[in-house]
Amino acid sequence: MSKWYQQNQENYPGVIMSSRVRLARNLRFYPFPNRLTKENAIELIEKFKGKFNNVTIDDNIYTITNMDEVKSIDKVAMMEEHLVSPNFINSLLPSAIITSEDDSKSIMINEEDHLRIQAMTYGADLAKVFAEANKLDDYIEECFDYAYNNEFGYLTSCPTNVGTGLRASYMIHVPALEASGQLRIILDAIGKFGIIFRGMYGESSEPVGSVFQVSNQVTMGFSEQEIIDNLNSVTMQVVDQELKVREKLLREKPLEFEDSIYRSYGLLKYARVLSSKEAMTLLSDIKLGMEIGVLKTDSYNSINIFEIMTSIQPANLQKIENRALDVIERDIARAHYVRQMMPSIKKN
Amino acid sequence: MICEVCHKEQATVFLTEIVNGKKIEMHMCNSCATKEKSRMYTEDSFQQFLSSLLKLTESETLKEQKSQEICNNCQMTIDEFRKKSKLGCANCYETFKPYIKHIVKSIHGGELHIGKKPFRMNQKVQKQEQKIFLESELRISLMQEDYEEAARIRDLLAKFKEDDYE
Repeated sequence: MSKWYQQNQENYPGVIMSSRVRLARNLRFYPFPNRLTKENAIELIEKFKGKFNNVTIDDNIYTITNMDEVKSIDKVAMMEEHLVSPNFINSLLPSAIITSEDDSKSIMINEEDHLRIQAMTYGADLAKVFAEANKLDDYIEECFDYAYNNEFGYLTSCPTNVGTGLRASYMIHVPALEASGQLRIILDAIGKFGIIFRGMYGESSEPVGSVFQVSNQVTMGFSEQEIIDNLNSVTMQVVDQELKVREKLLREKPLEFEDSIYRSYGLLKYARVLSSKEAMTLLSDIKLGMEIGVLKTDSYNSINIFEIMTSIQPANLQKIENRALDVIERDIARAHYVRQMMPSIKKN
Repeated sequence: MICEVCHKEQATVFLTEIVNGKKIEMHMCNSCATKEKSRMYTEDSFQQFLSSLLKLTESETLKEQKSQEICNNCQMTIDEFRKKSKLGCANCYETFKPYIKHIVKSIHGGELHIGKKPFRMNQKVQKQEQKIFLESELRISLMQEDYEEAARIRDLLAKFKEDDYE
């Protein structure tokens, strides 16, 4: 079965590339993972095996996999697909992952908390992913006692997640705001609403290709719906502003704009060696060019940049090529992959 | 201007960092700035931030906390929590309650959970509340000498107790 992000390119998502919800949960009668013994960690995984091996919940079939059975390249590929966190694949504690067939829904066992329930979708639909994560949460709660109290809510290892345990996020593509320098001003302003901006791969990553994750920082003192509504209203304003600045750029400097987008297209279409960072920047340009109607291609209004951006990461690229590649070989393979993915220009 | 870190390259980046309330400004070359940036972006820096936040809030709350410095379930200490900013188990939230309340308020603003409740646990809580309500109703009906009503409530309460034994 194809992955959740390998969607038809016709459903191009524009500024909001994907939506994600994560719920942090712990079981009541076990210490949190940072205090968990190896034996307890294995016992906990075994309990979940009983409940999640080939189980159908809400029309999805779930399977559970021990992480020590996963090859290290596949672990990194999972991280590149946002299925697992960097912390999770580097952890020494026995851990496991529960996944739906298309990987859109998953549960990490023994990450920073016992459970990290996650749901993702293409485009903008937080309501859907929240409902999906919530159903998994309900299913687990029928089987196990959660660490919970009425005052603090769902108890987590780190007090930054306590309360709802909810982290809702959008992945957004805001090249115009970044280029015009407005992003910095917006970043300062949205901090006041308990919202944070990070790079594509979370806390420790540098932003590339004008792709950012925007998510709630506050998890306590608000209901889940309020947290999502707040994130929605802030994000929609950012999206609005991005679209306004795009139009302004096009209006004020149409030639420079068109030129730089076609140059990026030329590089992606014909380059023989591409670093990851360069490829991301160029892909960002042509995504913008197609969406604003400057780059007229034979195909759709946009490209599935999420899929391409994921596929050109080191581990996924090696999986596509089906062999180990050094840095130079990766840059060559990346250029080759991107060349094939480029739509052709409309003749007129 | 020459880079203030390596003192070799031309400085092209101007970096401002605020550490413990002090503003530090530096002119750097591109490669030193990249190194500096990756230091600032690492997860450690977030842990450090949280740890320093914990230290700031400690002064007033730590005094109240002296008597119960170790969690009797997982042996977590306040010192270790301050260092790692991670709690060891659900019981830590009880052991270090005043301290955690303080931190939670400074991180989230709010200090009371108002979101989702686990369904099964919520049923227990509701049942407990209903029981307390019925007991007060029973007292009222006895005071009003409405024995018929009192008998009805007594039967309901008896049913609650039966359920508890199950």
